[in-house]
Amino acid sequence: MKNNKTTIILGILMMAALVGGVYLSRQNQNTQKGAYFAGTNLLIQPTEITGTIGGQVSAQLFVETDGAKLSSIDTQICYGNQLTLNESDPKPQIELNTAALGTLVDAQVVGLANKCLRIIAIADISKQPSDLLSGMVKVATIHFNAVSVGTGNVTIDKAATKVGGYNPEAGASDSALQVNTITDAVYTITGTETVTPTPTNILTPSPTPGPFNCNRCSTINGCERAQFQSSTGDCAVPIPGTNIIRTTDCTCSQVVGGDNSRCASFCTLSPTPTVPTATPTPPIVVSNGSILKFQMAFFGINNAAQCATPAKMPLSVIVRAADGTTRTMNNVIPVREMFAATNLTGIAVYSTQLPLDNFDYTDNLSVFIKGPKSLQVKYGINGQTAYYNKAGGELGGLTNDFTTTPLFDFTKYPLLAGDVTGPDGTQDGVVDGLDFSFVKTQSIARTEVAAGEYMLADLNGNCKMESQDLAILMLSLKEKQAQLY
Amino acid sequence: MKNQSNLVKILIPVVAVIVLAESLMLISNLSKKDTNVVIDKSKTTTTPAVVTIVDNKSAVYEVSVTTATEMKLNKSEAVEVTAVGNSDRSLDSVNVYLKYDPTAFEITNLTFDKKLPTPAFSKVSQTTGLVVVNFLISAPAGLKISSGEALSLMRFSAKPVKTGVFAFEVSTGSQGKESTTMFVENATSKVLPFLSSKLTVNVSR
Repeated sequence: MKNNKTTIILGILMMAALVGGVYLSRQNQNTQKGAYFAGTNLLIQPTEITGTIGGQVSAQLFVETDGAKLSSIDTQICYGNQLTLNESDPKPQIELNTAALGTLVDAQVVGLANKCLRIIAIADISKQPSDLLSGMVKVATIHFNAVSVGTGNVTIDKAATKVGGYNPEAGASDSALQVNTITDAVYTITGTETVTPTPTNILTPSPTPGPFNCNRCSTINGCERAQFQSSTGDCAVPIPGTNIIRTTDCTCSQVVGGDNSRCASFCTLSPTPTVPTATPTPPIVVSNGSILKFQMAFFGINNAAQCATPAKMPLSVIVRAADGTTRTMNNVIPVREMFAATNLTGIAVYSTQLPLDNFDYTDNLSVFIKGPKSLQVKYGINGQTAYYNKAGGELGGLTNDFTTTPLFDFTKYPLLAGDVTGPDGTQDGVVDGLDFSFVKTQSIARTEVAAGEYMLADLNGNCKMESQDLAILMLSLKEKQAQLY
Repeated sequence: MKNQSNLVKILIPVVAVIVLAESLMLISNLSKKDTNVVIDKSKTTTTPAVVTIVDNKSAVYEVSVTTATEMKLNKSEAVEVTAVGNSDRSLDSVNVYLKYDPTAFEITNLTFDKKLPTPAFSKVSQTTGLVVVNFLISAPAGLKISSGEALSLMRFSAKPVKTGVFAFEVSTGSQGKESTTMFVENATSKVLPFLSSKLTVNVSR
């Protein structure tokens, strides 16, 4: 009798297990990878930051979890031109809250014009889940250098942010925390800026020895500007053996006994001095066609770049009129603009002025520019900041006078870097997996060259191959693909 | 009474076997729900090679598109693009461009093989009729793929929105050199040749 009772109880238990099994198998269990198991908010604190030029400005990165335990973060914090970080190694400027995330896996200055800090940090592996922090967690304090006066924002790039946490669900493999809201900060930098005189203004020898960057009218050739390095501050003579970059400049006068062929080719000069005038008029500097003047930049190349000299960065420039007429100029050597010593991290600016022989169009123009390791970019408006996704162009107001033709600013949308190779081993006008593999191979080799030299895969022009070159290529690829598709 | 006892003794093992079977079913269901897209292999097929990119001898990868060749209007079907290699290779980059008719299909739930890194770029481009996925492998040694190993390059759901015969085809650059499917080898930084075919799908009501 007792045996029968046991059997019946066991049977009931089995039936219960059966019902339970059937119920579980009918459940739509979400095991999708990448699903979020909780939410989080990211904040920069304080939301209003003030500082003085030459000092440091600190911003704190906080993660606010909804009870979830924080285990990792991969984020990008972007900032304005008034702030800088050490681009080659920003880690010393990041003070990680090791109680929250003990290991700073990586920290790199990335983004357009190197104005974003990517931080990857994880909790120590030895930490138990119960020791991980939740709620309002300070992740790190970032100490920026304040380099110029102005205001701007310290922002968190939500699209580039991933936050991980400990998922308490038994057997759960998802650890991603959804980023819900972002709170950015505004900074104000005050003080007095010290303007470093450009080398052209250096008239008295510096107490420190050269070399000095010089950019002045040539004393040998008329209508020519010479850019070179000199051992003396008066820019009298170039350092022997160094490069001299010569460009046409019709504002430079003819040189007696010199080669003035540039003047005859590109500039119509004022009457010769044999016709005296009581009050000399400024020289008329005109061309037999419109004159295109612009300044531009290369994505990833900043003022500190020493392997991006103009002679190594020749441009291919195509000007296109509304009726389809084009004028193409290859091997255009631009002039690299001088910069303040405090602005090493600012984007390097190159400029040029091009007489468009027998090209009289002045309005509704578009300009296509390509660099030696860049994709061709179309510019349709002055001050362009993004992809110009229209037919034709809106550039206008060109004249045939070097002094009145407008200077177009293309620096806000730099040439996209990364076209370094193609299927046949030569550049093919696209950035793809072949370019990636080429730059990757070079960056693994950690190749370095001396200042002033050139490497095709050195996309930031800092004379050494490193992960930043690869990062620049990946950003270029992403930008270009977004335009194409 | 004795008969009743025997019946219970037979019933217990039967119930135990059923519970065991249900448990197995539960486990297999969990593994199937790993991704959004589930391919019913019984209904899928690839057409014979229609477009041969390279000859069989030199091809390192064979890329195939798999889905139901007979589809019903407004009923989503899973589509998968896989690559199988014939030798052990390590890859630096895999760029896949799959052509489709954007007027005929709505494409959703684009997912990728867990072996691959998060794509540097991925998009279903309605304007160009391409599903674009660019994998860039930063690891110095690249991504090792063994001979015979199938690599799922992309999976997605395709919902036919009009009837007719349509094709899914791996792009080899005919739409422009930007849209060229390629496998770039780690050791040589060169493109590895591959073989692919296009899949024709008949959509009916």
